[in-house]
Formats: sequence, structure tokens, C-alpha cells
Amino acid sequence: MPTPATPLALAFGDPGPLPFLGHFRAEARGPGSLLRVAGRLGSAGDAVEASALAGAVEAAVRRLTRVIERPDDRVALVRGWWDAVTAICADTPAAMQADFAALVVAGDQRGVTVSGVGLAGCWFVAGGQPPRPMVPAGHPLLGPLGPPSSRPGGMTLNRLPEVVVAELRHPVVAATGLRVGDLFAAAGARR
Amino acid sequence: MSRPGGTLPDRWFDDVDPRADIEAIRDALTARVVAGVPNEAVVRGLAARDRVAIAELLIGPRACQGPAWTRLALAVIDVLERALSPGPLYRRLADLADDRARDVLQKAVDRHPDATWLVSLSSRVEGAEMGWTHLVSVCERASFLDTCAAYAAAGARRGLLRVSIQTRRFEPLAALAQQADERALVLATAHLFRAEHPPPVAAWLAAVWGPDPTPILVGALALLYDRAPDRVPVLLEQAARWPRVAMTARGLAVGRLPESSG
Repeated sequence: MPTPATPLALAFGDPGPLPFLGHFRAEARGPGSLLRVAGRLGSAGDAVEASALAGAVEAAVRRLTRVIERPDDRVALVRGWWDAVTAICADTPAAMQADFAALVVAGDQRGVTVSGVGLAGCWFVAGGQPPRPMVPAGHPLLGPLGPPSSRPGGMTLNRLPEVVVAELRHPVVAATGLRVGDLFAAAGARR
Repeated sequence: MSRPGGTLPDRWFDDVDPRADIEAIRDALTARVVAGVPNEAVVRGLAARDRVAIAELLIGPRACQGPAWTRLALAVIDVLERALSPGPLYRRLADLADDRARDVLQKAVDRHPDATWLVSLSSRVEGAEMGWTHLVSVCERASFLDTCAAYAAAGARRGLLRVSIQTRRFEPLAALAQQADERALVLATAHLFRAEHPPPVAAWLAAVWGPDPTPILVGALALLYDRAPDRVPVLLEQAARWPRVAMTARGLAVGRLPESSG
């Protein structure tokens, strides 16, 4: 079954000398499905602790298609992702999970779903046009930082962008909005 | 203290006019420098009377060159800094100092550790090694990252690499990452992994470059595979988070080149 067209999921780096401390980015390919996540967890720790947590999240994403019942279903993939990351957060000290934020994009043969937590802003890039906001201020996608108390909902896209990029909320620093220049470099995904 | 023959005593300098007799003073000091007579007190005495004349003597167009003159100028650097702003002063001193220019740079770093003009002075003095003297001296300061970034933006590469290895700090890597200099990061990573007890390089890279530094780790892996294969397992241990690094290592073991070796 062909892999569906699914937007890249990117998250901008944070302010400071270690912009990608605790950042993770991974994807899971199922039969005719694809899930991509980008986010942050554990930036309260040092580089080793943060990388270990981020690595655990990425490994959980890669395992996802083997541990859920319907790996061909994007909604099942998104649910499985939230369950997996909730389990990781449950085993993580509170101080290390307070910065948790993630953008999730999943596609299958029927469409694309976007979900997230701890996002300060979310934009999409389509057709070579400049990035545009994906949702208005106050939308549930732009929720608070930290592990969600219940599984976040998903938003089905009615058009297919190439990239979805998010600014993650920061525990201390106010959001700055869409970055200028190379979005990929700002998200630590240099091409 | 006995005075070598042919040199004028300290008290002679008390009776001259620093500005009007500057050439006589220059000749007298030259004779004393050649004879190895200490001149710091004399110069300080003259500076107390006319610091501009002393600046003319030590850094003016007709200033003498040589290690002894550089030592003398550095001994009274506080006097000279009152006559000329530090950036141009140290640049002039470095030009006069020839092979003692690093002493001038070190003095400048010691006295002005956060000055931005040090970058151009270091470039003038250290060339391709620019950044080395300054950054090693200020690695414990809060401004270390900003200083690394200033050198990286000015094109420093070899100096930053040496500093990253010497200090085992992440800031040089962060500065190179800001410049998106993948090749320099590959070299720094490979060098850091050659240390007996390498710092957490892979975790640093993930924090400064982006969550997937596989291209850099693969580049460093290829270098280590060629030059220090015994260090490859150390890299692989740190890079376990990124499966493609281990895949590349398995490919190298059977003679397959990585897609990108940095």
C-alpha cells in the first residue's frame, strides 16, 4: 500500500544557546499510513538527560505501528501516539515533563489529521506560498504546556500542505511567532 | 644598582622635556634596552609628566620594534591606554611586536575580555587560528557563548575546533551550529570523540543543531573509521538514539561508503 502524502511536522527551536534541548522529531510508517511528530520534553535537564528523554519519545514513535491494532488508520496512530507519550510522561519527574509540547501530523488513505499540545502557534506551507496560520488564536490546538490530562482531539485538514510547523510554548519565555528566513533551519531540520 | 657603561642613569630622564627631547629620550632608552637596563620606572616617570609623548615614543610612527620594546610597552599598558583607545592601541602594538604579537593579544584579552575588537585583533595575530587565545582565556565567563558566536560569525573555524577540544565545552559547537557549518561540526565531533573520556558530544549536537544530527554523526563516524577506528564504538554508544548512525557503521564495516561523510 503506498505511503500517503503527509506533511512534514516541524517545531521551531527555543530561545537560548541550546535551542533544541529536549526536542524530538520522529515518524512511524504503517501500511498506507504515516505519523510524524515534533516536540519537546525534558529541557529542564542537562543535554544528556534531555536527549535521553527525547530519544525515548522517538523510539516510542518508531515502535508505534507494531503495538497498535490498526496501524493503517491515522486516527489509531494519533491515539496510539498520545497513549505512548502519556506513559512516558507518567514515568518522568514532574519538573522534566512540565515543558512537554508536541505537534502531531498523521495521514492515511482517507486524509490527514493534525493534533498537538503546548503549541503557541501553528502554520502551514502549501504550494510554495509563504507560511500561513493553520488555526486562529484561541483554537484548542494552541493549548497549554505539559502532558494533557485527556487525549487531545485531532483536526482533519481539507487541503494538503507540504509542511506544518509549530512554535512550542516555552516555560519561561514569551512566544515570538513565526520565524523569518529558512523555516527548516529554524526548526533544526537543515536541508 | 650598577649601570652598564654608555647608558644614562634614571635621574637623567628627570631633567628632560618629554616632548621636546623625545629623540634624545628614544636614543637613551634604546641604549638601555640593548644593555638590559630596566626602563619601566623611567617610562612611568615620563608618562606622569607627558603621557602623549610616551605614547609617541612607544607606539608612534617612529616607535622601535623588538621583544624588549614590546615588554616595555606592555609593562606600561595602563599609561598607553590613557593615551589611545584600546582597539587601535593593541592593533598598533601587535604590528610592532612581530613574533611577540601573541603577548600583546594575551594582554588585550586579560584587560578587555569582552571587547568586540578582540576578534579582529586575534585575526591579525593568529590568522587561521583566530579565537584560540581569547576563547581559551574566557571559557569560564558568562559571555563565552557570545564570544564564540562572534568568532564563528567572523569565520573562525580552526581556532574554534581547538577550543572545543581543549575546553570540552558545548559553546564552540553551538557557535558553529549557528553558522550552519556542518563540515566544521563534523571535524569538531570527530576530534572530541578521540578524547579518552569524550564529553556528551551527541547530546550537545542534538541540543544545538537539531533533534536529528545524523549527518554530522555519520560524517564524524566516517572520519573516525579511517583515522581512529577504536573510537567508533564510543561514538556509536552516544549515537544510539539515531539508528541510521549504527546502520552506516555496519555499512562501513562491509566497505559501503556513507551517503554523506560531511
